Amino acid sequence: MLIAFRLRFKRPATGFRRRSFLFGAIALAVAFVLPAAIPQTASRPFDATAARAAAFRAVTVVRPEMPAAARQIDRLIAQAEVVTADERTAPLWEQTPGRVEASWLRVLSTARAAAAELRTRDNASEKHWLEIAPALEADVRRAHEESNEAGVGRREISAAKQASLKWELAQHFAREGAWDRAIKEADAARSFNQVVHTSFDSLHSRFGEPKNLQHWKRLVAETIARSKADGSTALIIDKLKRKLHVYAAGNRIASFDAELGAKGLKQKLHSGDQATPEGRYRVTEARGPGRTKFYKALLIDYPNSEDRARYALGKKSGAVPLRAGIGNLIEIHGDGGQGRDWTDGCVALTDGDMDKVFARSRVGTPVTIVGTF
Amino acid sequence: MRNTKLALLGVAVFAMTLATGCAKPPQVEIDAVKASLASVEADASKYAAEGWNKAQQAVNALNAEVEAQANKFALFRSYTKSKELAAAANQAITEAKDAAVAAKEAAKTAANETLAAAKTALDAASTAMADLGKCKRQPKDFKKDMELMKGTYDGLAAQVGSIESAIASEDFLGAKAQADSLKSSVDTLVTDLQGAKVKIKC
Repeated sequence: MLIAFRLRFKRPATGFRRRSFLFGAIALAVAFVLPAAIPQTASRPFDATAARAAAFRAVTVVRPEMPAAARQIDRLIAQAEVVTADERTAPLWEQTPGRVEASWLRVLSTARAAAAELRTRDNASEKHWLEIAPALEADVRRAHEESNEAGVGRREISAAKQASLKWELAQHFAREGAWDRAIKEADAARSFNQVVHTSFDSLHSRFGEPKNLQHWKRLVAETIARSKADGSTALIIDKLKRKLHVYAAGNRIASFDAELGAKGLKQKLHSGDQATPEGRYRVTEARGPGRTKFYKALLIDYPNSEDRARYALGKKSGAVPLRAGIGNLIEIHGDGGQGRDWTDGCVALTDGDMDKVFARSRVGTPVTIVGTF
Repeated sequence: MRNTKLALLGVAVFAMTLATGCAKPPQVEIDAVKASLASVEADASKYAAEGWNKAQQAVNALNAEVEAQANKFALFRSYTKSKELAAAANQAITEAKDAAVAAKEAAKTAANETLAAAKTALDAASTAMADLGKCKRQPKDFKKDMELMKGTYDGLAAQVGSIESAIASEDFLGAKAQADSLKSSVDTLVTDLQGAKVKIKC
């Protein structure tokens, strides 16, 4: 062993080519081992964990309402992950200081911008919702009330119901913070309300027409004048205001709330239309208790000649159904006080009011029914 | 002699390069992962947000690993871990897809069930209304009440079409909310109709 040791250290110096080979081998080893042995970066490495978590939180919040922005953030996260891996494993001389931070900052700034935009949009939508909600609630209520108006039909009742459902749905989405959907449903509710309003306005438009008003005022004035002239009692019914006025010797001595036909605001054309007629009539029969279903009744002479002419015209024009007769048995009767128009065309008063009117009326008492005056 | 040794060393290095230096990224697996991620995005991001996030993180990890290997000297590259990560990403994507399918199906079923319940209630309302119409005892304001109820029924029945289109456009959550609201209103109408029937002793 000693001989071997001596031989090893007493060997002659190596030649130039052998030394070059050894140096080359050492240099090669250093080139491969050194990058792995020394720390990856000279400065403290950027910790992407917090940025990653924040980005994922943001993308989760943004995704439901801004999917395109969420996709963009997803792409940036993927790029940042690649950059992070690239920088972690690149040799020292290929690393770019701050590249990882820059890529994650890009992710975070995009996510922050998207979240801010979402917040702004949400705030704007919420503000819009808060602005429209009270008015819409009142509008839905108004449509519901209008759908109960005499003369507004089944189509409008249906529209009012749909408006009410859409309003409920809008409130549901608003409670969940889905403002855009809430606003969409609110718009739908508004459209249904409009159907009711249009019909209601159309029904009421004739009460504002000067020609009609003039005609009704003339009828009322003539009735009052006659009452004054002969000192008699006259009954005047204002359909729009739902009032029955009692005149004696030209003076108004009492007014009572009245209820009309279920479609009472329309001018009566034929039987079954549930409209209350308009014109000058007279009491033809006074029916006391037991002679009518409705406590007491004053039967009037509908149809008069004008009603017959209107009916004939309606038949010609097709406004009156083929099999529909002109109708009869229009009365002022009791059993009212329901707070709505419900009769088949008659005028209903509460029993107490009916007693007063009945006491002042007799066969021949003028009854003038007008739209309004 | 020396030349022979150098030649042997050269052959050994060449053989080692051949053996290890040809490691390539598992491109087929990576492409497959990307394709399946894209294919599940629409439903997974909507119905299984958590699963979708996990799937994306798994794909990101795969991309990072591939990049890390690409940075290494050719002789030291190994894509074994990349293949494992690709498999893990596939697994995460499959889970996200399954979760999305299940959640979507559940939402669809819930919407359809609520709509079916609302339709049943509408049928009940229709029957109750028909019964009421046949009633011999009809109070004085019966016609007005019937018209109100029929109008209400029409309004409620008209909602069915809107819910069905929401289901057809895969807006199951919106459809369910609408169907819930409809069902509740129809139930109220049925109760009113039954109450009216009792009231007029029909």
